[in-house]
Amino acid sequence: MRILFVILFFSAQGLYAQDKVEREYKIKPSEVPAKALDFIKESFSEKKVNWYMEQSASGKSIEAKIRKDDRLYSSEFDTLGNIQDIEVTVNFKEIPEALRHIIERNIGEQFSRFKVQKVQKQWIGKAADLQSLIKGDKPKAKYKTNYEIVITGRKDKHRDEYELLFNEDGALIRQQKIIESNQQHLIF
Amino acid sequence: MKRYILFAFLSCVSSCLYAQNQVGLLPQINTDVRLGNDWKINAKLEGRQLFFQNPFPAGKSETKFERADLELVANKTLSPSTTVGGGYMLRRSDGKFIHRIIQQFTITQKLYSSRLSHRIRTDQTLEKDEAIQLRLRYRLSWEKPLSGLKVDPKEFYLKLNNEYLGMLQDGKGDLEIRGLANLGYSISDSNKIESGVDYRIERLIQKSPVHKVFLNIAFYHSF
Repeated sequence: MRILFVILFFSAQGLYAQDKVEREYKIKPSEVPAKALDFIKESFSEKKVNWYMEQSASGKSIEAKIRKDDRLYSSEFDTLGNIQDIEVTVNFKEIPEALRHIIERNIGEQFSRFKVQKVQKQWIGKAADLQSLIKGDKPKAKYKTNYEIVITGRKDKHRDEYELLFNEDGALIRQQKIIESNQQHLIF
Repeated sequence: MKRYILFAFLSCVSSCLYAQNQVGLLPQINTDVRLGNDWKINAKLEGRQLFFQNPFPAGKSETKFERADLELVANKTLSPSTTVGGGYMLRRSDGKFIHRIIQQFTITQKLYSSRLSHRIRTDQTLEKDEAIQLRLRYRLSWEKPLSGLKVDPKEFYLKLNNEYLGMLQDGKGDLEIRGLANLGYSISDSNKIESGVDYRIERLIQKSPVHKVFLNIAFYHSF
């Protein structure tokens, strides 16, 4: 029982306050599963697609980045080519007002000061519904909308960058401190 | 059109050859030591080896080890994108010691697939039998990963620098412009190696300009 408590305690700490360490590198379309290529071809008319392999603590994934209507779309697939989620850059003010206030209050409870750097709307659902959302159509089935927000926040007298994931009710799902790579070669 | 380009290129080459110039090597070892409370100490050891000089200085070898610099800067991280620091540099050149006091402020911006760093630096150089030299410097550095959106270990990157140095000594002002293009390789999170061309044009206002071209080789280590 005591062992179970210790495991649960450390698991919860890990979920809430992880550091974001990610490695990504460009890959060729020939290295991408056909299923992912087909999804992008059917969803976007844009020809310029950048493909990346991402490696993080949770494993490997494939990401397609496309610029469409002045917004950046990131489509994440597993290594078999199954769509996991779609992220699209939005302005913080584009989040519905009531939800935005809840998110601001949640962030304000943790950080004495903060500045929003980047917001991505995240859609999770079936492939056909995600395709409808990309095209601006109404999806047939239910889907989830989350908001991934990057902030510079002041906490315990330190200013750092954090990536926060909120659900559509404004509840914090995940929080990661962004570990910035060394700037030594840029400033000296 | 090709003739004009060729003519312009040859004119530039010939004007550089007739102008005062130096060609050499600029090796550098740069280390960072992390202290508590967002402070870091940066130590840089840099040398300058000349292989060619025009005009050839009388009584001096054309190839010579011109200088060795040891620079120490204490830098405080104010936020993920800004730092402020101060330090000291000791230079050994022509048998003399030169002392420099340094103050700097940096801002690093993350762009979609690159990073841009602005550095504003002031320094005061003290040398025996010379008036104090005051400089105000601005440097723009751009880092572009050659694979992916950010530089990860075992990946190459491109680094471009452009720096403007205004100086004042004995009531006379002058200007120097520097440009650097380096190809870098990130060995690990804490080790990087870079090499490329460092071009400098000095004495732009006071006298005839001096052109300097160096092969830059730099190694960065973070403890």
